[in-house]
Order: sequence, then structure tokens, then C-alpha cells
Amino acid sequence: MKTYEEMAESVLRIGKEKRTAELRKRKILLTGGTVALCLLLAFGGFLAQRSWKENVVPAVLPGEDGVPVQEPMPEPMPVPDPQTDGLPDPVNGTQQEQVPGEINGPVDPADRQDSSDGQEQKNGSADIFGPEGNPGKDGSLMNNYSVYYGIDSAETEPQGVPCYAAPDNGVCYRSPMVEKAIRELGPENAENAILQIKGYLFLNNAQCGEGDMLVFAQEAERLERDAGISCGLVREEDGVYHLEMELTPEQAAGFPAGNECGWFLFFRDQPV
Amino acid sequence: MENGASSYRRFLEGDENGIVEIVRDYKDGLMLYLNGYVRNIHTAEDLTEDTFIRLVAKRPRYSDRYAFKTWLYAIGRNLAIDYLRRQKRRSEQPLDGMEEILADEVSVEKQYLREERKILLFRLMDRLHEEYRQVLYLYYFENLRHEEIGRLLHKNRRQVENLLYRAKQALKRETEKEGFRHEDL
Repeated sequence: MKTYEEMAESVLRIGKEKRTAELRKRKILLTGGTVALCLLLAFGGFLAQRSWKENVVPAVLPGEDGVPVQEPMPEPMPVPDPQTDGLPDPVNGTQQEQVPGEINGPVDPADRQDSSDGQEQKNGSADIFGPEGNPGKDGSLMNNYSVYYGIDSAETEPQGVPCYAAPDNGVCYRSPMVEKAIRELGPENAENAILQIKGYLFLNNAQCGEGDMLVFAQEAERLERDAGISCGLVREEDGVYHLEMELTPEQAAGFPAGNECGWFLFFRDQPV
Repeated sequence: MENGASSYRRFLEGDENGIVEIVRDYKDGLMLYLNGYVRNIHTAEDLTEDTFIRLVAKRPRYSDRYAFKTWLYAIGRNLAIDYLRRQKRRSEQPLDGMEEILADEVSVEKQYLREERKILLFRLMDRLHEEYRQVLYLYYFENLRHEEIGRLLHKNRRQVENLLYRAKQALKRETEKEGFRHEDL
């Protein structure tokens, strides 16, 4: 049996090694995710800009006498229907349709993620997976929702996929959103829907401690500096750390996540 | 603030002595508690060490709403449960070295419990159902309150009271079998 001094020494040595390895792993994940996100943003911005130029900006061309000639205006944009979220389709600029009676029903207020100023998001659809249960198509994906990924209770290894079912070796933690998806779509459909979400947002399912906040804060600063994305908000609520980004309307128009996106880190000590 | 909590806070602020103090203050109690789950003092020692390593590696957030000990024991308990899940067949423990294991167990008991009366009680508890053993250990040996026990065992206050009552009755029967008067213990 070890004395407490021996155990403390061993705890500090092994603990530090594990921590270093884990921070390195997270940094790699975070960097990769950030790059993917920025590419996606750039592509979204490009689409939005092209769409805007084609449909809204009047082309002013010089006439033969040097006097600018204004081309006829294109067809006016359709008036947004207050029943829909009002965002133009990022590809063709037409008004998207919102099918009433969404399959997921109204949102539980507990599932809703408020914006940083305490006001609800304007463009958030009540349907977390879109009208057809098909994420991303109507731009409503993930608006106002937090994503908490699962991890087993002892956190020996982070689970690589959303924890919508208990892994063999630990307690599974599930977010209200995941619970809702399972309840309303059935486990099989929920799996598909949730896995597809992964393609849109960078998610880090590692459990984080106080030291990790530094990494995320630095990453937020870097994003703001390099990509011009305002994501200075890093906050913690009931043990859940949030790193949020606010997009400009131009960025948001072509972005599948709507007018806001973020990634949210799981950190709970109680299973849902 | 509880000592453990302030030690942990100092550790998070960069003072490594904080974790040394936590190991010093909680090692034996946590080990005996986890031994109640895994029934092998060496495994319990490993799990105890893993619990402390987890504090260093993950630096989980501690909330003042709970006693530090309750929080720490809950981490250890989760690790023990995961360990047991991995061990598909719990009875398949090697018999080699059992004498050494028992000797070490006795040594930890003596070191932590000190009083003969407590050691006797602890051994009698060993014959009880696991849930009874857990609740009695936490109540009598770790002096946790009903709420804290409930938090650890995922039960409400009423359930803890009932469980404790039944556990005491079971313990009483065991002490009487051994010819002791329950009141003497």
C-alpha cells in the first residue's frame, strides 16, 4: 500500500501527463474544427454575396456617351411571410417555404438557448431539424439550441458520437435536444438527424475544466482577429461552457445555422 | 469552506500542495468506501488514485453547493461503477495474493477507523447487502448528512431514511448473531 506522499507524487506526475496529452488533443480538434467552420463561413458568405449582387444591386453600366445607364431592376424580392423565418434561400434567393405543423412540435422553453443579451433570437425556427426533419435545408438548423455531447461518467475516453444511447462502459449524458429528438423522431431517425448536425458545427465533446477555458478564450480571440468573426462571448452556465459566435447578416444569409451559431461544450456532473 | 474545497481551489490556482493535502486527508476514507464496491483493497487503492488523478488531469468544476467530500466520493463511486461494469464477472477474481489483500485491508481499517469498536462494526457491515453497507458507512464512518448521502447514492431524503432504518435493523441482527448487544456498539 502506498503512503499518501507516494500517492500524491504519483497523482501529480500521471495527472500532469494526462492533462498535457488531453490539451494537445483538444487543441488539434479545435483548430481543425475552426478551419472547417471558417471555410464553411467563407463559402456561405460567397453564396450570399453572389445572390445579393444578382438579385438586388442594380448594375450600372457606362453608356456610349459616357453617361451611366441604369439597367432595369430585376424582379422584386418576394415579401417575407411572417409565418416563415423570412430568410432568403441562400442559393436562388427565393423565399423558402416553412411547412406548418412541424414534426418536432413547439420548442420546450428549457431547450431554447437565449442570446447573450437575454433576448430571444429573432430567426429561430421552432423546428430543430427543419420541416422535413432534414437538417440544414431551411436554414433553421440549430438556431437557438445548445448541443451537449455525451461522455461516459468516468470519462475514460470521450465518446466520438453523440451520446443518444448509453455506452457500454458508462453513464450517458444527453441533452434536452437529444432527448427531444429521440422522443419525437425515434432512436433511428434521431441518430441520422443528430449525426448530420455534426457536419455543420464544430463540436468538442471533451469534458473541460477551468484551464481549458483559457484555450477556448484564446481561440475565440484568434477567430475574431483572423476571421473577423465576433465570438468574444465565453460564458458558463450551470456547469455548461458556451463559446458563441455572432455572425453578420451577410455571413448568416448563406450559413446553414441561420443568424447565429456556436459550439457548446458538455460539462455536467449529473446525467440527464 | 471545507478544507478539501479550499485545498482544491488552491490547487486550481497553481499550488500543488493543495492536491497533496487532498490525498492526505481523503485517501484512506475514500479507499475504504470504494472497497465496499469492488471488494478488493488493492483495486480500491488504484481507483482512489485514479480519482485524484482525475482532479489533476480534468480539473472538474466543484460547486460549493455540495460538501467537497460528497463530490469527491461521487467521482470515486462513478469510477468504481465503471470498473465493475468492465469486470463482467465480478466473482472471477484471482485467489492468488488474497492473504496479502486481506492483510492490507485490515491495515487500512486500523489506520483509518482506529477504534476497535468501529473496526468490529465495519466488519459486521461487510456481511450486509451492498446498499446497506454503503449507507451505514457513509452515515456512521464518514458522518455525512442524509442529503449528502442521497446525493451520492442518487436517492431522496426519504429513501435514505428508509434505507438507513432497514440497514440498522439488518446490522442489529448480525451483531446479535455474534453475541454482542447492539447498544454496546
